[in-house]
Amino acid sequence: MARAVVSLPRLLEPAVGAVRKVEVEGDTWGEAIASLLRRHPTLRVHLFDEESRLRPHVMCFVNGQQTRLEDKAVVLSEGAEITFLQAVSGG
Amino acid sequence: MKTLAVGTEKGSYLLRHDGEWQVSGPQFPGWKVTAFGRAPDGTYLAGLASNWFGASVHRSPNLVEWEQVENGPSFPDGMDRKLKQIWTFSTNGDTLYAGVDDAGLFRSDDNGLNWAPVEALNEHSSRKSWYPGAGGMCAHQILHDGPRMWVGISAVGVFHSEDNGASFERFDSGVPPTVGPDEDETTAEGWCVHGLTADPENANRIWRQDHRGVYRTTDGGDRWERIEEGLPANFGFAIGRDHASGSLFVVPLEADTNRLPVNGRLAAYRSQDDGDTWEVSGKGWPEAAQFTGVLRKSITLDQVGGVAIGTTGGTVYLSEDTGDTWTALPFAFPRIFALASL
Repeated sequence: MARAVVSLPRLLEPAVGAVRKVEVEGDTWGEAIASLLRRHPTLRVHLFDEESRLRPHVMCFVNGQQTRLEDKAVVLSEGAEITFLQAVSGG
Repeated sequence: MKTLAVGTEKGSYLLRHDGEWQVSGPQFPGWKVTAFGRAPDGTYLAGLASNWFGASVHRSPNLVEWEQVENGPSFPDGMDRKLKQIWTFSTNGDTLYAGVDDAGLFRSDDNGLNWAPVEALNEHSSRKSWYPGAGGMCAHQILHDGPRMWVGISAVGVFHSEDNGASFERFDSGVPPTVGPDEDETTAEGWCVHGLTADPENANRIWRQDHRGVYRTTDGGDRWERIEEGLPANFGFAIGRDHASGSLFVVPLEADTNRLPVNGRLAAYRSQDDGDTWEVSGKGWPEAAQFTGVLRKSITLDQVGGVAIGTTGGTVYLSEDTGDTWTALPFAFPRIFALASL
């Protein structure tokens, strides 16, 4: 099972406090996200909608490549860096 | 009024009065703070929304340390219904309720830690014909009287339950729908209630700021009558009542196409005869034109003479004498969504 690190934006402080990095594990991207949500269940409503899709104004990068996490079966590489950011929007 | 919570487009702020008003904040910087409340055990509640993230409920023992609820109001997975905003909290005995957008009602029996949908309203047989107004399709006002409950949903109408939320009927007789001929009350949808307030001594007496006017009922909503004498416009959002004096407050805005004070003359209007007549509430309103509005949750009364309204321009106006004199507090906030005397 691979280990990865998830980076969270400071804007999510109301959900997770001062946490910015979360170590997760899994064989796939989907398992890594499930690991993240087990550790911080309050993130689910902020990152994903009711149809489990990444929210439109949330961006996700895996090892620097942007993804909408639509294919959760992608193999998670050891030491992967998963980054969530809010999109440049809002006013 | 000792502590006033201000929920805005960009965080919330606390105003405390200790000789003079002091401001602290923002809390939840970058988040919309759309609702405040108290749980039955006194725990403070805040509803958050975001341009990026989901809507959530947060709890605090002291208005300083906040924690997000894990099992907050949510629609079932896989449903195209989205939880966009927490609009209101209310309590009835040991039960806490939240009204949300997309229109829905949720209840908690553990002071807001866990929430469950009120299916009788959320899955109401008329739901397929509900539609939103400019502010969304939101359950924004909840009134209680023992097992009786009234829920205001925009742009749908007032739903009434006699059985603790086990069943609901829509109660809008006498109010024209928002879309359609004035006298056509036969349509099944489209009553855009903006605000409700009731007499705690007689819950059948309810006052209503609607998209189409100001109304009251004396029979719990079986029939509404128009009460607008003295108002410069019948459109508006905010409505509140000081129960000791019976004084009612609304903030008229020109029309739904121009949601600003008539001719820029911002003022709350007060009725001291149950809504028969209205006049400008006291003194202290700005002489200069104010091109700003007041939203439905941006009015609060502390029930000991304090009344406050907050504008979309970020100003809080306060009266400590039930509306005889008003003062603009010296702070400028982002667009104000919600005010609460805590």
